[in-house]
Amino acid sequence: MQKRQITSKFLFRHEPMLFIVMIIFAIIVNSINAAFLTPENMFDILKTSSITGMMALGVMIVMISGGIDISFTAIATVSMQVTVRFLMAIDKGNIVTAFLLAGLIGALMGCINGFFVYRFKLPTLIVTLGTSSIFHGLLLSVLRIPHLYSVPGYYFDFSRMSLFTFTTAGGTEIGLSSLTVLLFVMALLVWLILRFTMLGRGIYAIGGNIEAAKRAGFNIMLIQMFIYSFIGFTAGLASIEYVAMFRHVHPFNMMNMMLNVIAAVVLGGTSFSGGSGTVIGTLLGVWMIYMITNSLILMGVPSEWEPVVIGFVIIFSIGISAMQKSLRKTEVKIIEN
Amino acid sequence: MDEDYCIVLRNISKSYAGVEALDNVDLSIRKGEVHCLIGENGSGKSTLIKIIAGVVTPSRGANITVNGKSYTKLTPIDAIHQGIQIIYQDLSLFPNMTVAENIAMNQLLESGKKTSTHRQMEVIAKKALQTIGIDLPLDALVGDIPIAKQQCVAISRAVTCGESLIIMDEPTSSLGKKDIEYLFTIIRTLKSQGISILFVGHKLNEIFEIADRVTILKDGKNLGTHEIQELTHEKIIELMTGRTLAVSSYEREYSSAEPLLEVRNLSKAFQFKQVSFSLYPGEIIGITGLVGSGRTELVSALFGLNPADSGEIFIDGKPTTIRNVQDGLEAGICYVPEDRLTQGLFMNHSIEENLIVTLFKNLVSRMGLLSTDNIRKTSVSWVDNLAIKTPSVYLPVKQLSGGNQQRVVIAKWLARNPRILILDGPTIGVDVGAKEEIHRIIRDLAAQGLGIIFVSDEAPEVIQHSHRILLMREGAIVESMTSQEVRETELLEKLG
Repeated sequence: MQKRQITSKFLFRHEPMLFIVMIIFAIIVNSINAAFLTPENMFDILKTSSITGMMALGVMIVMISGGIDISFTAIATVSMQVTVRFLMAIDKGNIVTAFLLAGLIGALMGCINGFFVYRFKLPTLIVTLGTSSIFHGLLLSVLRIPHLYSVPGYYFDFSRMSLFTFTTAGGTEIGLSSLTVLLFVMALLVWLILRFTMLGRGIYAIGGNIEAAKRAGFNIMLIQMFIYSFIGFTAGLASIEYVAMFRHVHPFNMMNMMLNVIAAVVLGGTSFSGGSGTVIGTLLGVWMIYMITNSLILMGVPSEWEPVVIGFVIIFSIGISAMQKSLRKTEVKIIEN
Repeated sequence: MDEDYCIVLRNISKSYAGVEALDNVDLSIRKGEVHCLIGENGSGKSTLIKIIAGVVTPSRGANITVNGKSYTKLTPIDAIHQGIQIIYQDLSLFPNMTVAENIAMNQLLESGKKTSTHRQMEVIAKKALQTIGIDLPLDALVGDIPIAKQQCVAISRAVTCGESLIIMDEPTSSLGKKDIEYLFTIIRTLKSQGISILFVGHKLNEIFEIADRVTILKDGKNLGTHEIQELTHEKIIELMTGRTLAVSSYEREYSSAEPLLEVRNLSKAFQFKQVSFSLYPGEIIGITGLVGSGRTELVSALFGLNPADSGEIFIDGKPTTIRNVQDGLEAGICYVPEDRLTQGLFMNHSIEENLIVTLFKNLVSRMGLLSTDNIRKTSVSWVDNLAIKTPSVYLPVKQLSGGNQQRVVIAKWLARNPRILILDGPTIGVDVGAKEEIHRIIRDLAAQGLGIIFVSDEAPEVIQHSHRILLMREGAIVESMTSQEVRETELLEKLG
């Protein structure tokens, strides 16, 4: 009995399950195309997924608090445009100022969301749907030429930096990309906040029972302002990562990343109704999504199929977590009796 | 003399938009006593406890002395620092967080710390659980544990900051009999440590079991504080409602010619097994048993909400299959669920909309559209029939008192002209006066020839208002008795 309880407890947790699924998935794909489980491909997935990962951290925090933000891609697009153009106009700056400026602009736009959500108690989906349209619409109407195909060299230099570089048997030099390192730093920060601060507890508390959080004495305004400016901040950082990786500024490309980010967070076990979610789960979710899309390419599936697959992944993973929840409840009941 | 008291309130008044919610109320609570606060809905109980908790500010002239310190009003922070904690009726817990996190939350917030570790929280939680003398798994999610354990979490959380007064707002409303005993043991433990308890409730037998003193509120006035020894059931009801209620047992005859409903060997895996009984027209059957005995599962199976695996159901002697709610309705069965707030009513919608929701079909005009005339006539007539106290049928249901809400639910189902009415816990969370009226409605309906099954875990209610009592234990009917045969104490013993 004791043993059964422990194993079932382990399996009812989302992260270990997802990890096992990832390994099985990797083995299957690798048996079809041996280029999948190579160090090159794995490090490539880590690098390309870091933009999505950065935004996923923000989305996760919003979803834990019981809300949803769909304006983060618009925030990213705007802060990318403003930051890159501003730094080019004053002809100064480096990668650090770019990240800081974009993060700040993103956080300010996030504050606007936070203000509406807290002050007018509006549904978060509607608020962010509205602000998303406003932010992106303003950008397109103010800038007549929203594309920028040449950006200063420091962006690209940053994306080529890497840690722990080594040379594979095939002779290619690979390492942990600076983009991935930045994601890890932010993930660590979020983990610390969620696990060791009262702010983090407040985020979970709001998602679990906002009325009880109020009665317990949490400052709901501060917490919600933090949540929405934080997702803006991550969107700002992600936008500079985008510029570094693709060396251009584009008014639409980042807008299309929304579905993947939300899919990753949901796949990572963050509950849509709020109250639960972990950093590890979210990172695993992001990598799983990229493993899926990467494997589709390797297996020669046309890229039009990607949204179809992602759509299935979202629905499937929500179904799985609902099932786990009801299983865990019956388990508790059986133990009670 | 004030030294014996943990809190003394004087001249507490409060009015909302000209309506006097509290009118010059005095209340004093001794150190280490269990003080019960009772009164009908709207008598000002919740306003009073909110004033003590500092959430509501009293009108001018009030004086509150807590632990020897005098205030004209309390703020929430004053109240917390003076060791006053409220356990809300809905418990106000975080279902997504662990037991330890929930218990430690208040103390961590009160201390104003910015960070916390799991170890710190476990230490706080362990100490609190020791104080109230129980053991709970610290890392279980609160949403996963049963409601009685959740209540323990809420109480533990309340004792973390060195409390002197704990206010419990209807703590027993969602608990079974055993869990209530458990709660009372905890209350006695707290009392022995010198903590005062202000217990807000309306189940009189509980009050007689736990209270040292009782304060009765009516229409915002304090009708007096009494030592429990000075009071009897009848006296309290008289004080609360202002009238003497005749407590008589139900003895009306019913026809035993042909059963309206006959159930043979009804079973469902893990829920109930081999249940057989008959219900005659005009008969009232009371089903009783502990929470988890399968009583709710059984009655919802009869209605089709939770269809049985095997067994036979006969309506008017004809075999009938009930696989879903439509079948149940077709057979003339109506079911009023236990949790009327979440299952039985659309709280934000008007009385009218709630009343007609089960009978759209009957209200359609010749054009095939809903006729507002018919709707109005129907809803007004039901409001009259059941004496629902409301200025208008347009009032949202959530603004009605508990007893009136219950009447709306009953009216909604009666409007379908059922032949069998199943009521699951019809008087849960209803004050004494309204309870009596619901009993009257049940009797009247039986007199009109309906067969009535009601589920209740209150022994006196079951004995007084049913012809026959079916006692359930672990999913089976272990005993069937007529209400004349059985005494209250006997039934209580059998229940426990």
